[in-house]
Amino acid sequence: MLIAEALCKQVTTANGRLSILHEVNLELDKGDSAAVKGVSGSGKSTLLGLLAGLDRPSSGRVLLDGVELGALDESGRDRLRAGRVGFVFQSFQLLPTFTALENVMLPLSLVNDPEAPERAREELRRVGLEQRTKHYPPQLSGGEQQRVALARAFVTAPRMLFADEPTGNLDRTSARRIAELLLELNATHGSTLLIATHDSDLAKCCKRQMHLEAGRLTPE
Amino acid sequence: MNSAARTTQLRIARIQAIRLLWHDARNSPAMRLVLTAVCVAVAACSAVGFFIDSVQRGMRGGTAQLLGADLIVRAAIHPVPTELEQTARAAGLGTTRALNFLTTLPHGEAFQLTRVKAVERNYPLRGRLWTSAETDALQTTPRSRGPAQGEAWPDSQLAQTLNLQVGDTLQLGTLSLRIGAILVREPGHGRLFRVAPQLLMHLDDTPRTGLGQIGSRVYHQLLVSGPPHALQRWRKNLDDYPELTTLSIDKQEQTGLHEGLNDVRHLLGLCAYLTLLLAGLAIAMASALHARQRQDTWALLRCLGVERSRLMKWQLGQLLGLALIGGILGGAMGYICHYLLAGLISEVLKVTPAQPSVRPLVTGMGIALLMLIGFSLPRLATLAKIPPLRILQRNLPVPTPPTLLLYGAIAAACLLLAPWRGARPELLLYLLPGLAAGATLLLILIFIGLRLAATVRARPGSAWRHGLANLRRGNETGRVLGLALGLCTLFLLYLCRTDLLEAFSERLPPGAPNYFLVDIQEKDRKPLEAFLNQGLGQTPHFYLMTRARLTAINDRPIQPLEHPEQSSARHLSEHQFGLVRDTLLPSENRISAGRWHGEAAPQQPPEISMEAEAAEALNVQLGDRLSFLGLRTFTGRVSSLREVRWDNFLPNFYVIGGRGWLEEEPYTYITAFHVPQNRLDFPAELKRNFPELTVLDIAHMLEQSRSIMQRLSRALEFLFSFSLLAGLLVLYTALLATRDERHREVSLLRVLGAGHDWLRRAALAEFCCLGMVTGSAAGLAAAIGAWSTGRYLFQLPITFNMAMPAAGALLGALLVTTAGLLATRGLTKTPPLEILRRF
Repeated sequence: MLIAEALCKQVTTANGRLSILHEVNLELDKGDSAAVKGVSGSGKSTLLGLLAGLDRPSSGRVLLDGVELGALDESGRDRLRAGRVGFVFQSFQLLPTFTALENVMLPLSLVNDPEAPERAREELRRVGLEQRTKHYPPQLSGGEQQRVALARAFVTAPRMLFADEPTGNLDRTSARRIAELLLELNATHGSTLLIATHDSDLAKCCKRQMHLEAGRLTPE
Repeated sequence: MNSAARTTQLRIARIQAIRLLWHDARNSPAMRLVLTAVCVAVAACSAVGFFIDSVQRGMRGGTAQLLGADLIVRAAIHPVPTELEQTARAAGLGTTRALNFLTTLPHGEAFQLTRVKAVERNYPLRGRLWTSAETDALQTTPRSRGPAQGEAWPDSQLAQTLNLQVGDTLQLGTLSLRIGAILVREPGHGRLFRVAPQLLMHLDDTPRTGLGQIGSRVYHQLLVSGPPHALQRWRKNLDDYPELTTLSIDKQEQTGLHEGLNDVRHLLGLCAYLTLLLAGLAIAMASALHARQRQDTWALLRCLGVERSRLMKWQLGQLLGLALIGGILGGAMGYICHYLLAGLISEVLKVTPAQPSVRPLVTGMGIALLMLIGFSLPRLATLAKIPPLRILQRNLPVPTPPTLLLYGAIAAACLLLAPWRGARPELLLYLLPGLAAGATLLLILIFIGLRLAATVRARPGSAWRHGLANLRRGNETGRVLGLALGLCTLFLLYLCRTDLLEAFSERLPPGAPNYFLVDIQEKDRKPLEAFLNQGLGQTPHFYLMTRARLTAINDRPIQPLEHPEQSSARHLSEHQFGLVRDTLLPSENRISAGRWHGEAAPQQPPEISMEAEAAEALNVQLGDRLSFLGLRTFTGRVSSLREVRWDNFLPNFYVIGGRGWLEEEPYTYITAFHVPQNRLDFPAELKRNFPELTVLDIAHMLEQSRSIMQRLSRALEFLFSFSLLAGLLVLYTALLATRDERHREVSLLRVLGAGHDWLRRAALAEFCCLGMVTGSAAGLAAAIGAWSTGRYLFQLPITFNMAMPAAGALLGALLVTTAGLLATRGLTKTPPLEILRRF
């Protein structure tokens, strides 16, 4: 489902070239769940960005759902993500002026899904927020906002889901509930899940755990 | 699912997507500001556009009100040939005849120079005559036919001056005429300036008046009306009669009415244009704010797989939607407002505004779209370039539009929008570089001012110290410059409204000549000089004058229609006009090329000085030989060109020659003098002593001119409200731009223990100081702008407004503090934790 081969990322700074990722290799099968652990600044978000096609590597290649991302231009990568890739972010990234339902409908509306309202309602029901459809993000708690974000990520039944510190902004109880929900939805939809986190409890819930340190990925 | 159902569902999905986008735009305070600014700009421009359009349509469609026919054929001295009338009738056109002459009417002890218009019974062909039974004209009656034989209809002014009532008898030469009605309004009476009041009578009565001397000053008219195509075909017959001149709705620019309207159009256009620039500034700033606030949203959309090109299309769609809504709302506001403007002006211009066309509405949409493309699109287009990775790495640089594209688009919009406002091209030559120079000056002044203000010592930890330190916020050049430009344009508009209008009014000083004496014979000159000196204590200048027509330039004959677009050129080539011999350059004339002939010895041909605009229109150069036809043909060589201000009500002339000029021609003199309010009996006394003199009373022309200025001032005040609104939008947007940053800062300070009062004092210190610095700099720049505009563009005796920088500081402090507190209201009401969690 997701293959990364000899992935490298270097950036140019005022002090010269800086290497963020070194020869990263990774392979995830359909339905797999994996966690990449690492401290802040270890390159987790950069790796996620490269694997999701949000950025281009300095060298190496990524195959997502059988398609080599390096062979696609920016529009091609955008099209590949649409409907096939889901995201969950640490800071939720909900649109503050949209209701919970409208936020969940957004990815479906973008692919002109005519059944968007019904599917979004169903997904909100799955995350236990069927009573909160008309609420705006600032009216929801952090845990509820992340549940809306989960519903938005899974509403398109993506083949691949990337989560960047999904419990980073939550208290312990909410974090546990979100972790359970994330894996439950992953199982229900049969998606492949890759989580970048420094939360060991969350990482342990995944089938595989890896460690990223100084740009190098090692299995635990 | 069948294909029809699928298509319907896809349509629903698209509508959902559009609805979501619209929802996003609607919930953005910055986009609401953009829409408001577009509405204000379009409303201001549409109000002026609708107003000009309705008055022009009133003038054109209301031919009846102005001419009484579709076409008037005019002839001096001899009647218009009867063959022309016959061919017109044969072509199915309606005709009627009229003649005009000036005469002095006696009534009791009073005398009044009067324009007598003798018409046939079927006059007017277009429109109606409005009469009243009383001189106060409270109740009027429309009439479609002129006076019957033996009847005369004086206008209200004449009836009041000579104390005439309906039923009275008026002596015109040897003919007694019964006053049948008071003429309140008639076609052809719509001229802004009239030389004398009018008397309407029947054409067949004129031979019985015995006024033999009228033959030299009479103007005959043949009025024609009918279908445009038939009229156009018939007009070709006029080619065989070069001595005839015509007046049609296409030639309205020859009337003072059009000139008056042009003045109104230019000033309103300038005011609307400045409003538009202010609104443009607000749009640019609000768009930058919107782009900044929507970075995460668009990065998220990219993450969710929306292509850059699709985002760009959405962005364009959003702007188109805004242009449509802004255009319609602004156009509707402008449509309502134009009635108020028209109400102010129409009475004094004597034109009934017509229902305006939809053209200003379409133009409004165009303005809205152009403004959004120029001021908003470059900034918003960068949103599509937001890298999707930014959603994961917030420290990634945000793409910014290339400086050249950003400012190039703004400059292009400014240029493209300008002609739509009817602004004179030379205005732009001053205005745009002036604004650019002003912006640079402002930036330097503000940079110095803010640095100085920030060094003001205050107790460490005090609210004032914190507020003043905030003046050194980084990355705020654009915001502060926008604020200053907004204030500067507001002040400039204020100065235009007050100082410039005052200077315009001073063109007509209280002591300006209000009486002209024409056709003064040589024998009367010395006694008249003595009489004026004795009666009024004035020694006005007497100009030696003859009347002639320009026939050739360097021996090449002038063709009457050679310069159709130039009214002065056409006037010179079609009419006789006054040529003057004088060695003194008139006081308000300025030599723009060559040298004034002065007392130089006579040359062959004699030296002449020509008015510069007429020379340009006729393509006359220094050294050219001009031929004129008066009593005989004579010539002069152009040795200088003069700039003349035609609106100063002083005797002004197209051509003034030096010694040796007009020596073979019969001549008279012309002079002008001022009759003060306490000597209103003087003109009658003058007339008794010099009965052959023609006295032209222009007092009411002056009064009308002043009235136009007053109405114009009120129209500008009305338009100024739009400018004020646009200016406040700029201020509000500039301060709203830092709201998020302030929000976080205030929350932090509250966590650290700062109280509400402390925070309010800090905000007051910052806004007050920011307002004072930007206001004083803006005031100085506006004073320079108004002074240079008045001095060099309108040639007005305007003085530099020394008080403006100080007044600007006070006004700036007031406006910025008010707008600042409004823009940051509620900051201290939200729990600090809630705000800190957002960042």
